[in-house]
This record gives sequence, structure tokens and C-alpha cells, in this order.
Amino acid sequence: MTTGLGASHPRLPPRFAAGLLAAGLVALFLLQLAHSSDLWGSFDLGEVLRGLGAMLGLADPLGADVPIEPGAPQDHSQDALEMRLWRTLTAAGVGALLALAGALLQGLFRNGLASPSLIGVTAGANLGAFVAMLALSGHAHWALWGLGDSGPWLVTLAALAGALGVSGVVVLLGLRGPRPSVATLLLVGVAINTLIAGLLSALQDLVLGDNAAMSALQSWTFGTLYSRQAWHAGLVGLGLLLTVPVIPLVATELDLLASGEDDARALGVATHRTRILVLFAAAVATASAVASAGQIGFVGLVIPHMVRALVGSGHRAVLPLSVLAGAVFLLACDLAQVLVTGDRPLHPGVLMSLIGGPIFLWILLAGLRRSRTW
Amino acid sequence: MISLQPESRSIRPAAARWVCTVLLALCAGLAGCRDRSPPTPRPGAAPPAAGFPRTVALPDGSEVELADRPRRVVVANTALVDASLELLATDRIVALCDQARTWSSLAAHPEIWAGRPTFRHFDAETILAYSPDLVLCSPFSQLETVHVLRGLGIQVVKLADPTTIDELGPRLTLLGRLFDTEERAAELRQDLDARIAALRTRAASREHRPSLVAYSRLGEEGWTMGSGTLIHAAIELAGFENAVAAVGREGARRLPLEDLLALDPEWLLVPAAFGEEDGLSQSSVQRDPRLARLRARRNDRIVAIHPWLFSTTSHEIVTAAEQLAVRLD
Repeated sequence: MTTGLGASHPRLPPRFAAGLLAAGLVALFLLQLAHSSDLWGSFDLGEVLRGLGAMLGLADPLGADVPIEPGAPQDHSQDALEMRLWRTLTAAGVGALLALAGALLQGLFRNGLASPSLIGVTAGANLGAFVAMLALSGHAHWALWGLGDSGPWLVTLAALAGALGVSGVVVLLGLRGPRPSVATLLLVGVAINTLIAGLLSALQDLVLGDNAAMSALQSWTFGTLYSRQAWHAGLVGLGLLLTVPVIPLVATELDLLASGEDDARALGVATHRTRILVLFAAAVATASAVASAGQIGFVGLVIPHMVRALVGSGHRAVLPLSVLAGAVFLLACDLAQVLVTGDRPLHPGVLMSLIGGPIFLWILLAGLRRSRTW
Repeated sequence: MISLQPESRSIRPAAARWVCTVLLALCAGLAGCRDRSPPTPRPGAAPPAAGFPRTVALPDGSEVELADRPRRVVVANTALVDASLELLATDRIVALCDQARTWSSLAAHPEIWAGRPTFRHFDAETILAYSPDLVLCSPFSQLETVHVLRGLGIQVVKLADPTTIDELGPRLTLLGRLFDTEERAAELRQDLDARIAALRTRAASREHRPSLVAYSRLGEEGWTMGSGTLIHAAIELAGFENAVAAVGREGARRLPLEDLLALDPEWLLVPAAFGEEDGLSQSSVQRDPRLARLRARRNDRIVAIHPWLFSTTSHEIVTAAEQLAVRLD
């Protein structure tokens, strides 16, 4: 089986693909806000626009014109629409960030199996979040440092700190020595990931009998897009703001690195600087995504392959299109699971594995078929 | 061969940066613009019920301020379902967590909540659809959801599961005060206290406290409950000695077969299957050849109780204790 990136042949002009993805993103955004549920019914486009307008103070909130009857329950349509907005923005942002991180790391490691989990970011986020959750559920109350009332913030911040801390350790250890190589970095990542996986298993094992704590840990492990708030969307927005500007600084360099570090250096690529920039962007992107929505696998692994299958392997197209495609893919999956599974929804991580696994297999088999024909 | 030309034309990075900035600005703008203060009472709303607004002190030292008598209660903590159903008319409960159908008295009496709404996920959009004025949940229910609901002015009360028999009565009183059904709560508590006192008297009159292990086994692994759990308290209340607690073990924990053999309790307490006499835990204990020499098995002293009673952390644990105590008579 090939693990390389391969030089696939572009099927679509990148700008056309970008246009399609952008249109898909807008359509999914509106559909996600308007979709019908058994509890809320559906919002029509006018209501969606009015609800968004109300958030900006440009229109009356939804439900404000419902006649008031004494003792009747309050109309929460506007609040529901806002929750959907934060969920939608978070889902799109998380998909975009994970896909970008995957595309960057696959380019750097020149390996199609590289994913954001490789440099320890996901494991670090999980470790931080697990410790915070166990502290909040009373198993390690000492770890709260008196911050027990800031629950949701605490888990997110702990995840962010864990992600950045662990990926920092991986990068520092992996880039030691006079001529650090990506192979060393890869092996350090594997070692640290294994160590943290053991720690996480030990933590889970300690609280197996506590249903509440286990349920929270499980929810985190498979990702969650429920009850997202403005600051979740803001965090992924900040992640995009910090990482998307890195694309033009590394895209051409990653293309040149595809033939090996020595060749790239000979062609004038500052390989060390490129490595640092790519690792920084991948770590920040993954950290802000995982801290906002928990662990959602497969996006970072599959999306860059899908994009390369569409537009070829040039990073100046693959990186920005991965951002768009990741947003579209996670949003589409989230919407699909909401519509299909109804009141028995799946965690996004579960759905991504169920959908992403077969797609990844299909891409690999199609690649093998093409190379045999060639 | 290395090509300096990328294989395909690129997307202009500036455009991506632009989109990203606009999205972030929109996000911040939308978040900041709307007034997020809790809703004020609407004109035309009925005046609060007598005794409201009221402040209710919670076991963790915090207080909750109720503006009016709760009329639309959502119960998201399975341990609070039994008491809520007994204290409130079902029309004041607008939704229960889905687990209640399996792990509360509804497992034995499903007709009480037949056709009524339950929810699987404690997420804000779902809960808000029931327009609740009071939400009861456990301390570690989805933190984000609690945060969002409180932000919308909905009272969310987090109550930890009791771990001792003495916490059960005060829990009923507290819920009665939250629901404004103090009289019904007092009646229930009086009845509960009498049942507990009768069990304590019976237990004190016994010369020997036989050893017992609460044991469940749904796969290869066996589980038990040591001290600090409500089932442990029920075992003691029924006049048994919890053999696991006696060797210093606390909380819910694994119990390998060799440890079960080493403890060799006189009695075993296992969960029965739903709607059947012979549950998986029971059959695995009775049929596993490795446990053939277990005292409880040889003397046919395996007590199977309904799984919801085996796992409950509500006042119904006293029913479990009563079912156990009967076996000693």
C-alpha cells in the first residue's frame, strides 16, 4: 500500500472547485439553521434572516410577535436559532481547521497517513480535557485551583493548554540535534502519543464505575457539537485567523519539499523555518478545533486526499481548498446525522469514522487502480 | 524531477484570509450585539404563586432563587426521577431523561410515562424546546448546556447522588421545597423514615450479620460496590455485612473471579434481567464452573433484584433493602 501523497491528476480547475465548495458551504449553512426537527419544526429562510438580523439589532427577535398568554411557556425560537448558529459556525470552523492541519502535516511528512493526531496535539488536548473533567466530577478536585465554577471554560482551556503543551514537547524533542529530520519528529510523535494513550486509559480505568464521569469522557472522545456557544465559534475563528495566513508562506515550500529535504534545501527552501511554521499552524489549528468540539477523527486524514483527488497535489490549491472542503464535509455530516438519526443523534466523531473510513478506502483503492493502469 | 511550477493554479491566499477575517468579525459581532440579560417577566404574566419568590438552600452550600412555582420541570438526572414523579403531578413534568425508562421506577411501571417525552441528549437546543422553568440535573451534566440554560434565565439545579440512607429524607424535603409540594414531601418522608426505622430495628435484632457481595457481570468482567455507595448502605440496612467493604474497598470497582472466590460471601446480590427471572449476572454466577464451590451458590443464596433497584440512587433503594431483608427472615 502506498502511503505517499502521489501525483494525482487534477479533475477540476481549483477556482471552479473553490466556487463549488463555497456555494455548498453557504447552502449547508442555511440548511443547518433552517432544518426541521421534531421539537422545533423548521425555520424558513425569512425567519433565519430575521433571527440573524435580530442578533445584530436590525429586526425583532423570532417569537416576539407571538401573543402573550398568562402562564403560557416562553417562546425560545430566537434562542434556538442562535444555538444553531454557534453550532454551525463551530462545526464549519472545526472541519476547516482539522482539514488544514491534516493537509499541512501530510505535506510536511510527505506521507498520506499523517493526521493532526501525529504530533500529539489531539492526545494533549484529550489529556488536558480529561484531567479537567475528572477534577470537575470530584475525582481530582485539587486540580481545580478554585476554578470549579468556570466549568465549560475550564475544560476548553485545559484542552487547549494540553494540546499546545504536548505538541510543543513533541516539536522540541523532534527537532533537537544539528540536522533534525521529519522522521525523528514522526517517531517522537508516535512515542509521546503512545505514552499519553496509556495515561488516558489509566484515567478512564480509574473512574469506570462513575457513570457521569465516564459519560463525559466518552462524549469528549467522540467529539460533540451540542450546546456550542459564541466563544466556541470565536475560538475556532481565532484558530483560522492564526493559521490561514500561514498558507501562502509554506505552500510552495511544501511542494518543493515533496522531493526530499536535501533537494528542497538545494533549491533555496528554508526547511527549518518551513517545518516550524507548518508545525505551529497545525498545532494551533488542531488545538483550537479539539478544544472547541472534542476529538473528531478522520477529517484531517481524509479531506486532503479528497481535495488532491479533485485538484491535484499542488499545495497552493490543496491547502486553501482543504479549509473549505473540511468545513463543508463536517457541516454536511452534522446536518445529515441531525436529519437521519433525529432524536438519537450520533457523536460527530462516530459519524466521521463511519463515513470517512469507506471514503478513505475508496480513494486508496482508486489510487491503486490508477497506478496499475498507468 | 522537481518542478518549480505547482501542478495546478492556486487559490489566492488573500481571499481565504479575507473570508476568515469576515467570518470572525461576524461571529464576534453577532455574539456581542444582542442583549443577553435574563428575560424579564412579560407584561400580562400571572403573579407568582403564594410563597414565591423563594430562596432554596442546596446541599452544596449554594442557593437557588425561584421566581415562581415551577410549572414546567425537566428532570435530567435519573436519580431524581422517582421522587419527582411522586412529588409532582405528571403534567408539571415536561420531559425526563431517556435513561429513566430503564433505570428508575418507570422500568417497573412504564405506564406512568407512556407516550410522554424523553430526551437522550442533555443539549441546550433539546431542553429549550420544552420551555422549562426548572431543570434538575446531576453536578456533571453537560457543563455547556447548564451554562447556556442559565444564561437564558432558566433555573438549573444540580444535585449530586446521595451515598447514605440518611441523605434520602432531606432530599425529599428539598425537592418538595423546590416544587412547592412540601406537604406531599413530608408525607413521603414520614413513610420513608418509618420504613428505614423498621429495617434498622430488624437488623439490630439479628445476632449474625451474614456476609454479602453485590455482584454484576455483563461480560467477562465482574463489578461490585464497596463502602461509600448507596447499595452498600442498603445492604447494611437490610442486616447484611458488605464483604467487599469489610476488606476496605470503596466505591464501584471491578471484582475478578478469584477475588469473589476469596471473599466467598454467604449471600450474593445480583441484578435480574429485565422482565425475566434469570439475568446474565445471575446465570453467569449459577453456571460458571469456576464458581461451583462458592458458598452462596452451593446454598442457593443468590438474590436477584430488578436491575433498576440494583442501580438506583433514589429513595427507592429502601425497597431494595426491604427485598433483601425479607430473605433473612
